[in-house]
Amino acid sequence: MQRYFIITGTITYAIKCRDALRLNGYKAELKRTVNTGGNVGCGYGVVTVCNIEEIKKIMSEYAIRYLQIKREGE
Amino acid sequence: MVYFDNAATTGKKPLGVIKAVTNAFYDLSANPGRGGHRASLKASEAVYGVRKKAAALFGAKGEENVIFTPSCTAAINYVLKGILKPKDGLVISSLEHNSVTRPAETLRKIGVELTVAEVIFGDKEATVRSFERAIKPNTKAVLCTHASNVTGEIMPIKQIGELCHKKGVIFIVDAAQTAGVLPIDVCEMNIDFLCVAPHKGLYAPMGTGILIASKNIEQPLIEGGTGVNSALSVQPDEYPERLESGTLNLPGIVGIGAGIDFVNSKGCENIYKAELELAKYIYNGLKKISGCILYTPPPEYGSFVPVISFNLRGISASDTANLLNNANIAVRGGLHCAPFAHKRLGTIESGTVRISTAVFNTKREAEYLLSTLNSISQKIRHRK
Repeated sequence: MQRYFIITGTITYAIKCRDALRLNGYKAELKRTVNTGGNVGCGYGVVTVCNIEEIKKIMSEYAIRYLQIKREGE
Repeated sequence: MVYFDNAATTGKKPLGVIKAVTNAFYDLSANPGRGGHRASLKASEAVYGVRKKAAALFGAKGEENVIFTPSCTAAINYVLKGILKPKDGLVISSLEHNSVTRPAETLRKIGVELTVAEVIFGDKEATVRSFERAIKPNTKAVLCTHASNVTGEIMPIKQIGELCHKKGVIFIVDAAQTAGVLPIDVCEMNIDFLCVAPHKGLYAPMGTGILIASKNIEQPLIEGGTGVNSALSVQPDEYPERLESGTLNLPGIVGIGAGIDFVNSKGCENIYKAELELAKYIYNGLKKISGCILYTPPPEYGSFVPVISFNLRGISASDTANLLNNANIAVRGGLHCAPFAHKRLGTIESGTVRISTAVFNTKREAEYLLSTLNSISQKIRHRK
């Protein structure tokens, strides 16, 4: 499993995303995004350790809109 | 004061609500969604927690479908002015409040075709047929109150919702008098937009409103800062932020959360039964007062929310309300911002006196109200 950073468009989706991952047994924390320059998102994302397919499945199941999922550090 | 004007706002708020609101000024005094600091995030988490409670209470698909507004009226305006364009049709019921009729009239002036569906008193099936007749090929939306703020009459929302969805029409419900009193599930009841006044049946602070939006609103009525996509000049398309420009009323919102906790702890059904029982007691007492005119049958379970309209023969509604005020009793006299309903009752000139109960009202208060009204009635008769 990898450490991923899920960037959401809004703080509402960021919190919902964190809670959905936790409900599915994954560790997840809100984290500030960097260098977005105010162009995208709300300034928050979610860090989790999970596999990418599972993240996408959870996002779809909970109807969570996200902007990007990237490996942390990328 | 003995307070029987709960249809305007519940006069007594639960201690949990007062504490939550007070606590917000100490612990949550930062702008939610507007900063990277811990205090802002804590405030955002608090707001999200209330979205979650509201979503669960009303059966919303997700927390993002819960939009906080300054009032139920604002929620209604957001929807009507956000989805209707010239040549679209709008159907409203003949019981609507000015919160609906005034924006509807504004829309009519710009070319929206407005049709009023007659509510048939005591005949839910006939009322649904009335809506069916009112829906035309260009009808985009139907808006119906869940219960009249003048008579307390409950509308057949689920059946009207079914009808709307069968015809591909958006269904909007004004739940100002029912949220927290009657069970509401937006999915089960086919409601696309639910407008809520949390300061009434949810015992939250005034200056709060909720919109449960299951569909897109093409044109937000208010645009501005949302804490999202700040460099872009256009409104974000993600909910709830799309409809929540400007700083949120955080103390009010946490008050909504505490109000929902209060309602859940008591149970909607128990609250409704207790309020209705007291309303029935008052209704039966009013029937015994000489010269008392009642406009509806007794408030029966499932047909009415605890709202009673009446008049005393020989005295105006506002004078009756003033005399009760002198006896330290709060009721509402007049048209209750609902001239449509009064036209139907035949009370557009006189108005009515409205009594509305809440969970904190007691039988003793009801007895005091009835004995005071009895004295007023006797004085009027002696005056003649």
